[in-house]
Amino acid sequence: MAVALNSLDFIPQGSRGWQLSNLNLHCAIPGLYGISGGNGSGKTTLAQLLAGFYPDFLPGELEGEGKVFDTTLGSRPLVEMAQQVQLIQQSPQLQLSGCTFNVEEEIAFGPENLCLSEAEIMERIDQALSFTDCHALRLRHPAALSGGETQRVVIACALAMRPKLLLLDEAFSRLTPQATTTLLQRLATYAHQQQCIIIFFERSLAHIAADCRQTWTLAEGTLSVC
Amino acid sequence: MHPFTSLTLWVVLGISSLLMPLGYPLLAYSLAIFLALILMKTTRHRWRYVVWIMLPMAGGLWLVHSGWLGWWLHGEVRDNSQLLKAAALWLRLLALLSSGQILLQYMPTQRFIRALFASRLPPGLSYLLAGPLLIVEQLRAQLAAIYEAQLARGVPLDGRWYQRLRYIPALVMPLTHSALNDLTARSSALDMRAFRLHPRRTTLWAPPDSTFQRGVRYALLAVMILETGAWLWLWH
Repeated sequence: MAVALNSLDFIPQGSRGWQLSNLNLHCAIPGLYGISGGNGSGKTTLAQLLAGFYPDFLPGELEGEGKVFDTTLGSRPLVEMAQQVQLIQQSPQLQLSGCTFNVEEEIAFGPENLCLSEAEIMERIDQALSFTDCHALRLRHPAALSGGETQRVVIACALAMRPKLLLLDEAFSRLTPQATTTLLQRLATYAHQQQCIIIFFERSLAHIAADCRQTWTLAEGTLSVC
Repeated sequence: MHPFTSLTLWVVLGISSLLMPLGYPLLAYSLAIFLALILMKTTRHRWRYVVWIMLPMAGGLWLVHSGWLGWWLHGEVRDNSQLLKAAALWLRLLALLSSGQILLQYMPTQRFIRALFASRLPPGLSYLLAGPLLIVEQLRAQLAAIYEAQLARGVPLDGRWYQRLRYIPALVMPLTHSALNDLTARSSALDMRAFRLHPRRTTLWAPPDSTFQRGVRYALLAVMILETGAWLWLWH
């Protein structure tokens, strides 16, 4: 089972009573999944939990059973989880490495850390650029990109890591409706081809629900099947 | 030239200027490097950066070390006994800054950082060393956003010079706070890209190095040690 949460409770440090409670979430078959919720419902916290932010970057109290690729949440650091899990968050500028001078280098940064061969990295860069329509941005400085462009580049960076679980936390918020539709179609194909589970965390799943294998609603820290 | 060779050469030039006593050789040495900066077509445009720093510095050093500042502020007797030392310091800094500008022209930051990541240093240490060079671009983008936001709130950052001076804290405080707040997010972003997962990493577009250049670097290192040894022996 790629994602298995059973009666999972999580109280973030300093949350003043707010918590994620009795979460039951199971994703086994590759494909698209969706979790919707309003502001403050806990989408980002849940996405970060699944990505491996707990406990180093998301301190708090965890109870119940939570596993991602048979790894108990919190038992492996984020840096190790990153080989299989990628999370794309709302603020794209903060997800850039900060040590590259063009988009090409930025996309290569992750695969370089995985010690892949140069040929393999170049292939991944080209695929990620094509996937996100970022070829025109290839030699631009990451800090000089617009919000939407940065969001596409961040998605390209995550895809270049070839994750088995891709978490998108309002990752399309700065994209045009057309770009969003195109990316969604490509992600559906990608999930099938790469045997990847993609979970969307959105305020509304109206434009995604039809492509999702299953959807949930997160409200006040509680998850319910739609 | 490999960025590390350029850097070692710059360090040798810097150490030479620091160890040279005040006199005609130091004057000639510093002016020669500054002249080289001006005479080389590719580096000529950089002379302004040196002058913008060195002229106000000359004024400041003269005010303090000629005794004029003490005389104006407290009515102290003027003592200019340290003026020659200040002149030596100024000449050394002129040599350092001018050679630094030449170095920057021929060793772009991008190449230097690639060389750092391709080196035998641990990736974390390479990132730490590259930090001061990298942070400029990020702070510049952040500063531009804060500037726009403060202007929209009516802070007169586009006003007269004294208004701009008065409201500098309105730029510096949010910049410092956001930079500190973003540290965790930046750190998690690096971990999310598997940074430091392995003690070594592949580095694309690494500047080519050679046995000859490595030899040159060791030779330059020997020159530095010899210079320092000679300085200690002759003057101490």
